[in-house]
Amino acid sequence: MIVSNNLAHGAVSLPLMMILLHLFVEKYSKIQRTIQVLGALIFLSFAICFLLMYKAPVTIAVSNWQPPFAITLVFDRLTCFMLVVFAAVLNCVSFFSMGDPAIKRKKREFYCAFWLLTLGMVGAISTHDLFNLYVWLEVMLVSSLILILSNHEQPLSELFHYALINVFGTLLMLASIGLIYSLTGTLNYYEIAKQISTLPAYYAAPPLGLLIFALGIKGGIFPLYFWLPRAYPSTSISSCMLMASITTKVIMVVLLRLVYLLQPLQSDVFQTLLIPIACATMVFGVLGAATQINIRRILSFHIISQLGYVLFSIMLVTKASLVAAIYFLVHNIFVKTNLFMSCGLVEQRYATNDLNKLQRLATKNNLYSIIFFLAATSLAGFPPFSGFIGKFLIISAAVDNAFYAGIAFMIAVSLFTMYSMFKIWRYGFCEKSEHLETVALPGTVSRSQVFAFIALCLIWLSIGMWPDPILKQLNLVAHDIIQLQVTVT
Amino acid sequence: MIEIMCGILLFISILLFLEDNFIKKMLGMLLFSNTINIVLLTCGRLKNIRPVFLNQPNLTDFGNPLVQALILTAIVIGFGILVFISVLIGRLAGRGVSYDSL
Repeated sequence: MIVSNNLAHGAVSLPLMMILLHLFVEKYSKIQRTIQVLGALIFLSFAICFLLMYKAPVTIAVSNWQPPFAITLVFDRLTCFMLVVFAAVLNCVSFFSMGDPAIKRKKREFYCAFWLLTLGMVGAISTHDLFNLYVWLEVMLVSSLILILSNHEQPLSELFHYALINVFGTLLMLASIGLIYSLTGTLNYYEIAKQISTLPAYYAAPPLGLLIFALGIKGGIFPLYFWLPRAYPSTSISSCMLMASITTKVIMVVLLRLVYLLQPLQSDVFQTLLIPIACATMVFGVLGAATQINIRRILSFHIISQLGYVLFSIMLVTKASLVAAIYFLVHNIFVKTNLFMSCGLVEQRYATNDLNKLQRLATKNNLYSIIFFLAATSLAGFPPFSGFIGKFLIISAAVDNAFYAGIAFMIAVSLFTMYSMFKIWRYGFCEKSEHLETVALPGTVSRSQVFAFIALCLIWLSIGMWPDPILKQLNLVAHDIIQLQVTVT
Repeated sequence: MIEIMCGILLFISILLFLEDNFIKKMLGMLLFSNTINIVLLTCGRLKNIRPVFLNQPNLTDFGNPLVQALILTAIVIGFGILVFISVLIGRLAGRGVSYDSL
């Protein structure tokens, strides 16, 4: 217990320490690199130790004020599991960013923002206080702003758009937090869950709806998602991967926790409202991708469509759908980051990611092409890989609840996903066009990048081919979450 | 009364938000964040307005200190982001982007 307690404090304070260290080592690139690799590895080992030694939730009460009155950070099984996933992907991104030419001059800003984002992530998935959640999400927002800027050409107007929409989202969230506080008189998740289940539905629903809407803006859910495919393709590939794999996914974890904790969110009103929104998110994301010819834009639109799957699965509110949602989220984090990495390698070698200007990449880069092909088929949901298992779990959970329209949407969206993945494969990797010649820039891919690329591929291959251990762990997570709801309310 | 005022302010700020000109957008954001702060203040109930001091013998009718702490935090964060966005607008103007073209 003492060890777990120390690990919990370590997971919060290690990112802070790393920010400070990175501020001082800018001029010594070797030391900077060593510190970055060591820090990321230590973070991963913390997370793995934490999950392996997990017995009961570890609660940090900030300044020793006891739970209903003050901020608590609770490291339960869901938090520990997601910490391992995020730490693994952070390690891969950290290795990849060592050789990224786009952030060469901005290494210090990039790494400080990297650890700031990590800090915000740890806080947001572990906090059990609504206002504290707002603060951590703001930390993540600020670090994403710095990440977008850490590129050799700074995309200012996209950044302005991103900042404005996200600030709008956080302010709406602040208003909803105020309303929830005035209803229940507390900000602690458990207390809110206890109080709000006794209130009549017409009191509880509006502030909770506003909260979900605000989180939806920040997470790229249907009505207001246009900032995402606009901002992500304009930054450096490392920042793009970091934001794609952390920010929106953290929002999904938070949504999942809130939906399974607060009873009014599981009512029919929210289900009939949010399941169509989830379907619309899937469809609009994938249709947006179908019209693009830029690889990174296609992948960014697909993030939105995958978030729709996760939201759909969360809103089914059964144990099976909970397992499916987390599995799909994990699959999506790894596979999408791997696809972005292959896109980044193409950009580095050929200085473009426009499908009109690329041709026959498969004949020149065998390894990358194979990994890209496998990741693309996994994203589309072909059998031996993780995408298939994720979609299968979601569909079987939906069959149990008899949501057949949602299943039809999912299958149609999968076909469109396949279409745009094969569009990239056909025009970029296979087909020869007569009037242009793609020339590789020599020697631009470093060894650490290839290492990160292959390691990430092995991770998602293993969770797809050998899903038993992760599913066993996810069943425990789901069991804990559902038990918690029973004991709290 | 204060609720109606919040509604009017929210209306104005959303209108400003929807303008093309991005100085007006920023002002809309500023107004919006301040209105949300007032909403937060009303959420702590406005009937009781006496300040809280620790060594008061019989403490009744005191104002809610928690919402004040929340607003303070929200103001600090909001101000930081506002400064960031105004610097951004300055940089955009330096690049020769006109204020209406976003």
